[in-house]
Amino acid sequence: MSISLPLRSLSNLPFLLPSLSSLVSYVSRRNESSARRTTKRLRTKPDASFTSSISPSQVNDHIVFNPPSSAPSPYHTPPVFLPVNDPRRTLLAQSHQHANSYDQPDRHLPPLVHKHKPYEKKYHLRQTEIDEIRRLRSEDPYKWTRAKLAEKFECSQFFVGMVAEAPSEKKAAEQRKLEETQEKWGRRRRYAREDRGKRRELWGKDL
Amino acid sequence: MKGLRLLRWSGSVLSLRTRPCCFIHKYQYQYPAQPLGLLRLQSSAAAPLRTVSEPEDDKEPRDSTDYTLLPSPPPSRPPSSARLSALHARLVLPTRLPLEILARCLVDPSADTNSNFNNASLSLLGSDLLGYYTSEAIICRYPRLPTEVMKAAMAAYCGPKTLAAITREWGVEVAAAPGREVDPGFLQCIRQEAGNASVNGTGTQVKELQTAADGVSTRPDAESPTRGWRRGASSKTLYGDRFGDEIQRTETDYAERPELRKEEAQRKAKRGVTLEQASTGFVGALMGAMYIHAGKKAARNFFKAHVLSRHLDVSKLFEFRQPTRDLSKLCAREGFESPVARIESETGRKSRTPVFVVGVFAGKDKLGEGSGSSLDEARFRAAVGALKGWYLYSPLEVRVPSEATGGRPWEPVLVDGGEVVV
Amino acid sequence: MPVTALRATSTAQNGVGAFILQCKRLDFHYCDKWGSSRGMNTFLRSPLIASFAKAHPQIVIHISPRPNAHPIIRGSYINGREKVICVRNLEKEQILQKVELLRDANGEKVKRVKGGRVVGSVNEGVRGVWDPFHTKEYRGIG
Repeated sequence: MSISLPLRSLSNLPFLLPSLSSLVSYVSRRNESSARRTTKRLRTKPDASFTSSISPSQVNDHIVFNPPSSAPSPYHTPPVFLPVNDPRRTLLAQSHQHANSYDQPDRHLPPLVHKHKPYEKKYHLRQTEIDEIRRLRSEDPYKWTRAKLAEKFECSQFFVGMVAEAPSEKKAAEQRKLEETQEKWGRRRRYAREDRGKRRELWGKDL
Repeated sequence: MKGLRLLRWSGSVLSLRTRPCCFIHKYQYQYPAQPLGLLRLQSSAAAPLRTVSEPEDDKEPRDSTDYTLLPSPPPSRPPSSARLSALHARLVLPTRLPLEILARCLVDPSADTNSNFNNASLSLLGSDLLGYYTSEAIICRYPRLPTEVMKAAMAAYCGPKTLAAITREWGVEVAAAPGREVDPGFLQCIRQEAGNASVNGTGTQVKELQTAADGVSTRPDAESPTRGWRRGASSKTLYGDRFGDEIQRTETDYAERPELRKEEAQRKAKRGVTLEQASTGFVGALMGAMYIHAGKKAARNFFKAHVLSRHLDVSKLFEFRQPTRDLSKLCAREGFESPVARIESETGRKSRTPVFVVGVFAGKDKLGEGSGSSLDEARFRAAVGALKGWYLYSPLEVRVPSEATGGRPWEPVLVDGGEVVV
Repeated sequence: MPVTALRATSTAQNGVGAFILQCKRLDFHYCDKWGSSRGMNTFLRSPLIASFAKAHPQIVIHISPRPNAHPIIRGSYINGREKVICVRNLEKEQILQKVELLRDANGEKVKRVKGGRVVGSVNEGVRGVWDPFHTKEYRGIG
């Protein structure tokens, strides 16, 4: 990542420059930092986004638009979620600043989180195939797992689980296997897993 | 809502009640005679508990002028109570609501079982009004709120905990024990005795409360072993109270299942209430009294000033389990393109503390945004943000039904299709 | 179940809807013999106390003797705390000032508010909480 230089010139920030007082002898030096002096020094010119490019004569009849640098509030309904007859829909559409910037032809959407294409449902399985899935599953649930069946019939694992649930003894065996593994865990791993689960709960509570 | 015709109401609510002599005589026999030295005059000090039961028969009175054994202050007392007048002034109650009625609002049914002198009838009316005003305010303001969250918001505004806090913040104190000699400015109730139960893990002692959920439930599938799992939103709406909690049993339930009556009788024999229950009754009763004595508008203003003005962040009441799934269901239902997560910005992907900002997009429209230290977390949070954006939609101008009396006719508010069902 | 709810309680904002005066009760204690109560005794006989009581019907006023001791005023507050001021040798106007001080207090312990211009609020600012990932410069990277 590149290191960004300060946007403001050094002349605007005199307190960054070596102070003249350092040249004065140590004895006569006064304490530089008082609340008044610090405030005075920090009273710098506002950021360029706050100042307007319009001439000072027109200053009174325009609005400075400076969107907040903060995460959006849940109380701000996205424009698509507004009902059709809501007046905000037309107002936002008219507003140049609030218009969707991704609508412009030269603006690309950000990259996807998941690079693979979203899964498309094919709805290609008929009753005979579903019966076949069930038969295989009941024949040997240890050989015909969800993943194997999903691969064979080109459907999702979720669908296999939906149409042909594993028999309860297989579920119990899997559970036992999991518990045996978990018993071997030490304190640190167990706590780490627990904490991860707790943190995940907080995601849903938006905390 | 059509206004109630106040003048046609029976006198039991509107007029001040006086205890007829025969009533006092009845009580002569039900209370054991106390030596004068034990009587408390103008004090709130603790007195030995007495059990009250309805008298068996009418015998001749011994002394018809002895008021000392009444369970609650007689109606002649309120005008002389400074505490009561101060409470009346503190809440800026209208003069049309007399002090005697305020005193009656402060008498809990546990203190005085006679329904002519306790606040049971007023609190029944008032709690319905509280529920009506709160629910219309929430539903009209957030028409898309899911049922569960709506009920939680209701409980946050007018649930027992909140009403107990309101009572405390009004400066209402509780009498150590009720009685005729107690200042009528105190909340009169018999407190439930503390039990030995303690909160798990902490040393805090709590009261052993018998809730409706502990006993035999009124729900049809009560015996089902998976009962806890079946408490869905519709079940809560059908069988619960306005906050979705299980309700107390009614006469209809007893008619259907007579075995419940015995258990209820055992509970009643203890005859104590918690402070929360007494406060709920008091605030409800005051609301009902405002409605009856000062009218609908005053009651609404009173509700707005004391209940609706409290602060509640509704966006903090949600808890999602699978927001990404809910969001794609929602988009399918509403006809948007299916939502896709996109990385808006990121920093330190290979470091120990990465931050990702992920937005959820339907086509070119952004639905929500979230940030997290993993792509999964950011995506999850973005879906939560998008769902909250949908559920927390609020129309610009909201006019609730109860405000639409006279003048401008009421315009219907937005009714939403409901929450996402998966 | 897609969404469940967390239980919460709304918090009071005194003055946003109704305003509840936090002072509940004022006790005036005087002594008939001691000279330090002279101002208090004139105050209690003057119309000042009556007009104060009339202007503040929400405060319960108790007057009682406290023999062989300095006169005090005790304010009781809704939060359960008390505030006591000794008014020995004060004139009636000075006592009225103390009474008004007790009336305006909220019963909390007097705390120093650090930082001078600190303003507390339960509401988020209209521009939200500043966040480094939403500044203009940062937006460009995405």
